[in-house]
Amino acid sequence: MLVYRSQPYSLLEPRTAALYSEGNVLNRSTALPRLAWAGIALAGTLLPISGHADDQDVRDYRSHVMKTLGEQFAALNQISKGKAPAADVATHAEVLSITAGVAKVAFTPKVLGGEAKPEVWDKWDDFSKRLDEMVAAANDLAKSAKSGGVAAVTPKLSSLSCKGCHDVYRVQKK
Amino acid sequence: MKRVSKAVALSLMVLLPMVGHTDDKDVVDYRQHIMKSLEHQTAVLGQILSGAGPAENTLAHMETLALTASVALKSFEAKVPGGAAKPEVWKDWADFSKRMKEFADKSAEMAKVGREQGVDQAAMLVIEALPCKGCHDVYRDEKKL
Amino acid sequence: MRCLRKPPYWVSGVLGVAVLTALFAGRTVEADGSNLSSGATNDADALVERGRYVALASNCASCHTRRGGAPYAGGVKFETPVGTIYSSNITSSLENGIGKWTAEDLRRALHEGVAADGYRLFPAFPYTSFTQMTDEDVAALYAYMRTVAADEYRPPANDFLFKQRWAMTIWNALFFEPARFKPDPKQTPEWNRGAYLVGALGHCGACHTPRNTFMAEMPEQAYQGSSLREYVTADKVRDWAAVNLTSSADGLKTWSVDDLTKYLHTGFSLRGGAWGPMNDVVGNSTSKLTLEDARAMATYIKSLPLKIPPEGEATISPVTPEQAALGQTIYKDRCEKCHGASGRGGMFSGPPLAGNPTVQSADPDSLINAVLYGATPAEGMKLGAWETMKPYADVLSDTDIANVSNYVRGSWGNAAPPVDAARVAKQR
Repeated sequence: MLVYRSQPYSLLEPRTAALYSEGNVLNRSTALPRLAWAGIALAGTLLPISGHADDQDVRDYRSHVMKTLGEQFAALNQISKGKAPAADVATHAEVLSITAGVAKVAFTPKVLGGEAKPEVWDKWDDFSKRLDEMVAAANDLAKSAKSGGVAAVTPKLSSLSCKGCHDVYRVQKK
Repeated sequence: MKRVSKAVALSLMVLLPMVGHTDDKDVVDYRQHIMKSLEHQTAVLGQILSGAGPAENTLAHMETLALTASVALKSFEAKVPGGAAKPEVWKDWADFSKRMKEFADKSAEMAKVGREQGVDQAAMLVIEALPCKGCHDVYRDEKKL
Repeated sequence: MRCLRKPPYWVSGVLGVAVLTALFAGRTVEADGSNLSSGATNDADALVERGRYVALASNCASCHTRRGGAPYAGGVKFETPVGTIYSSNITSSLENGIGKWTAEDLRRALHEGVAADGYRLFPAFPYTSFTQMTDEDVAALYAYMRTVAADEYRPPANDFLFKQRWAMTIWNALFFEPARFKPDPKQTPEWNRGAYLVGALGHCGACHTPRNTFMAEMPEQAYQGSSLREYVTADKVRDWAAVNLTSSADGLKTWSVDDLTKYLHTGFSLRGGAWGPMNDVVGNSTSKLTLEDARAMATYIKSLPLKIPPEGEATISPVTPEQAALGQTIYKDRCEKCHGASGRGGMFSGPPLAGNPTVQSADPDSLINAVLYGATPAEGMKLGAWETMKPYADVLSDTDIANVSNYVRGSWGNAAPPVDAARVAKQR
């Protein structure tokens, strides 16, 4: 792979850096050591393109993140109903937990459109709190999956209801 | 009391297996959840690597990609044609499974490098780790997407 | 002490020269590190190597090598509105090539469009660009061409009109002025290098600059896009639209110098990859140049004055929302997976269609070709991680293709004129 000199991501156009502020830390028990964060900040150095995330990119990104949550949640539901391999429960719960952890960053830039209602930013404190709750619940689910398998996960799945948040913050699907 | 519990036990014995019954639609749905998940995760990784996404999430996406890839092959084991899977998946199972396993291994490697040496290094492995093209050209039916 | 008298003043000069020579003698050494041969051989090798590079940059091989033929043996067919002309054999063959040509003969051909026996060349051979070649490059090219293995192939005779070489006197008088490349002192060396590579050697204008009725390039519209004809088989032609290379909205606006450098150097960039007729250019020429030269070309191209639509085009209105809507379902079913719902493609899925010059060209031929025939990179090159675009000729009707073309030409900020089914039929 050819290496092209380009600016590190964090030094790119101010808008991009500001859009995704580095204040968000992954909400995981295995927090990354500081050195790894430095490595991530330098991620742009050896990566090919100098970046500019515009509004559509922001919408696309958060759409992918939320859809991943949807797919993983659906998979877990299938597993809890015995319609998919029980052995996969810990994997999906872990993916759900990690993905939930990055959701807040996805919504940090105030870019209207897609399925996000303006309430997301108008009521940011509440939205943000709910995201935190989702992350906590997902982390808990992942732990249960590791230690107790499907049996431990099934009762907790309902604690991850998407509806409450979506009713307020997501554009209704026709 | 004993008769009631016996009845309960009997009905459970009858009902429980039905709860666990997986029909063809479930099989297809489950593997589609996995593959679609992979599609989204690949897309966001691509966004980040081309500067159109938050770099701080790079490692997270590499991890989830590797985890999802690790359960992908198994979801195709049940020989249930449907969705966008062409019959070739099972006709050429040796090749298909080899490619899926490579995908799982390489994306796991990428995540591992990302964890241990930083996403800079891991990004070097990204093209190798995501050989979606080679497989899809052969095994995925474009018209059924 | 008496024995250590101060040396005569001239000794330091000699020593100085000796030191400098020792230091810089190494600079003329070949890349292979050989510095044992005599100075003369070294220079000769260096000249041939330079000539080889000039031939690469000028992409002589692509027009002078027919499919299955020996390198530079000619015979490539060019069908123009006024007849057919074949490229000549430029191997070192004495009978059938240019083996008898002197350095001055070659220079005259490149700079003035006149061949060794005095007959005039037709501008299918872009002497109108090569006239800008520096004398040093011409000399180097001559040295290299002497080393090309002789081949005795004789290309077919040209059509009637292309035997009337006297007519070129008039054409040249009207449209051609021999002139060496003059660097612009206000620009950087890199820019000037790029201007030279693009304008003189690469002759990109031969395809990308519109031509007038007499098939002369129109310099006032330099690089703003034109059409070209490909010979798929002996009797099947396929028209292509060579895109506008200026940075207007229907050209390379969304491409950065970085993107363009990568495209030229590797055939792949996240804005788009090389396919179709550009395979010869990137595969045989630009990918074999240095990275610095690729960047120079990109720098120059990105600085070109923007295309302002000529009167004819400005009056053609873009695709209407109604026309675009007809193609939306087809796009969703067939195209969205790789090109994205927002037309932006992705690193692992496909090229963006939003802001894509092929999509936005007023001339839709290349876009239609992509849908009909798919898109494959040059041999040995890869389009990154993208899946190969499949041909849809057997799967979509003319109307379908017109509709989906209109959809992409009218979405996400694209505003190109509509396509009709008849145009698609013409491209089949």
